[in-house]
Amino acid sequence: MDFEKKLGRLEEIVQKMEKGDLGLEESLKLFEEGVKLSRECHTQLNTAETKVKKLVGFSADGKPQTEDFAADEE
Amino acid sequence: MSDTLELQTGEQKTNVLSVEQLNRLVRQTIEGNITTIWVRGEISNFKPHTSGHFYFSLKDSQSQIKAVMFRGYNSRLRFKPKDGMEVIVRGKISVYEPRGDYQIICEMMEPVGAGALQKAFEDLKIKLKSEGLFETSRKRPIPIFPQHVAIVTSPTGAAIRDMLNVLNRRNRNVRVTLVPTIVQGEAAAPQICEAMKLAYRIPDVDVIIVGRGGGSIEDMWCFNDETLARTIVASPVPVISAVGHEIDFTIADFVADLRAPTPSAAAELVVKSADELSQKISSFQRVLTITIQKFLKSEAHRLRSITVRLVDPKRKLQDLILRNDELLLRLQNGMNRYLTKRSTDHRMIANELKSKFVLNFDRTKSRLKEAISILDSLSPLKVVERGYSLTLANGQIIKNATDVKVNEEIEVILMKGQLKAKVIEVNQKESPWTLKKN
Repeated sequence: MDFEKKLGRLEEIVQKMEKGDLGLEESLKLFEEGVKLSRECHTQLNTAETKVKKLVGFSADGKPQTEDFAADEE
Repeated sequence: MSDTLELQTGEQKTNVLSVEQLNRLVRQTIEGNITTIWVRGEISNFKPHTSGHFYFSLKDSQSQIKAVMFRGYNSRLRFKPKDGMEVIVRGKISVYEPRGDYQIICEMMEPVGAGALQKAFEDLKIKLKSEGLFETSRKRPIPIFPQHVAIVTSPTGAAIRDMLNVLNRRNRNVRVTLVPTIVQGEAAAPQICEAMKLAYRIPDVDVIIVGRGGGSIEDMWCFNDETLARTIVASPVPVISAVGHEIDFTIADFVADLRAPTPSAAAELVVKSADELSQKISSFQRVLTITIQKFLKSEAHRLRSITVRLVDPKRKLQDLILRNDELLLRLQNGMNRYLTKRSTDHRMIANELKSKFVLNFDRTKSRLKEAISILDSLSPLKVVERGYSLTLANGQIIKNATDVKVNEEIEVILMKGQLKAKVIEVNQKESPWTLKKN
């Protein structure tokens, strides 16, 4: 599930939980799912550095061809 | 103060001016006759002074004139004057007397063709607007957390450098694909179009940033190109325009889905949304945790209150036993108190009775004694002791002589002993012992 979908589902879960008319079992299930999703989203947001490539062309089958790019120093 | 001077030729010349006088005269003549003029020429020898004043020359193929534009006026310029630039100026001629030269003091300057360019810009703006290309309704929202950004800009310019600085500083997990292009000059607009089209072919791009760093209006002008505008409109993904000119809007800015005032600002948008997102997710986590805790607490409370009401049968039995015992105890106590009271009463009564009885008994005893003595005194035996005797016939005591007949057997009981006798004679005479009635 891509990031936006995960976030959407998380929002949905929070709304359901806040409404508060769920049974115990379902609340716990949703809570678990919500925590899992929020952790995954956080990880996606906060890991890694920016990966920069420069487009140099397209292959015959339409795949972009790239090479590493580093901006000039000031 | 003109002089009269002798010449070598012997002539006399009057009104020979000093240089100062001449220059003054020139100045007065010129400044008196030429007020505000408009001049067109090419800038050369342009020297911006530290004072902020511009010193330069305006020239054409034949001539040149010195020019100055003081800071008060030149600060209003919206472009950077450069050597070779064809400009129109409005100004006044001024003669600098000490040196005898004149210059044009510029009050207004405009690149030649700027007016024409401006008009073309306004016309295009009207045209595209009427086609609805500027409508906010057609602007797509920028994805909240773009994961692959295509940047269309110069590989050597300030724009890409600044953008990457912003992204790296925040360590954002984002992929960038640079699609290189030139971003100024005549050939720029078509090249930018081509670069945009290449960007459209890259799969999984979330957003495209197209732009360049700061510069003059001429430098930006390629972003006012109509074809480029239409190419941007045709983009399959949202486009952020980042043409580094804070004040003005280019056509590209109007048709893009979002305008960033500078390339750095565009990168900030990508990053800021990730920051906001991060905070949003943290707050979601908090809400989830608090909600579940609250829920569990209230469920536990509910459970407790139900189980309190739901009494364990064993408990119930225990309760009953306790109650029973309590009642029993109360009963016993009650009984005891009652009995104690009663026994006290009893004792009291018993004592009373006893004393009464004893009294009674004594009284009775004495009465009995008395009775016995009376009885005793009345006893025939006592009578007999006095000498009287009892006479019986057939076991009956006879009091009347007529109760017997002659020759009947009678018994006589004496104080000591008894006699068996026969009646010899019966005499009915009154006994000597009968008491006289009166």
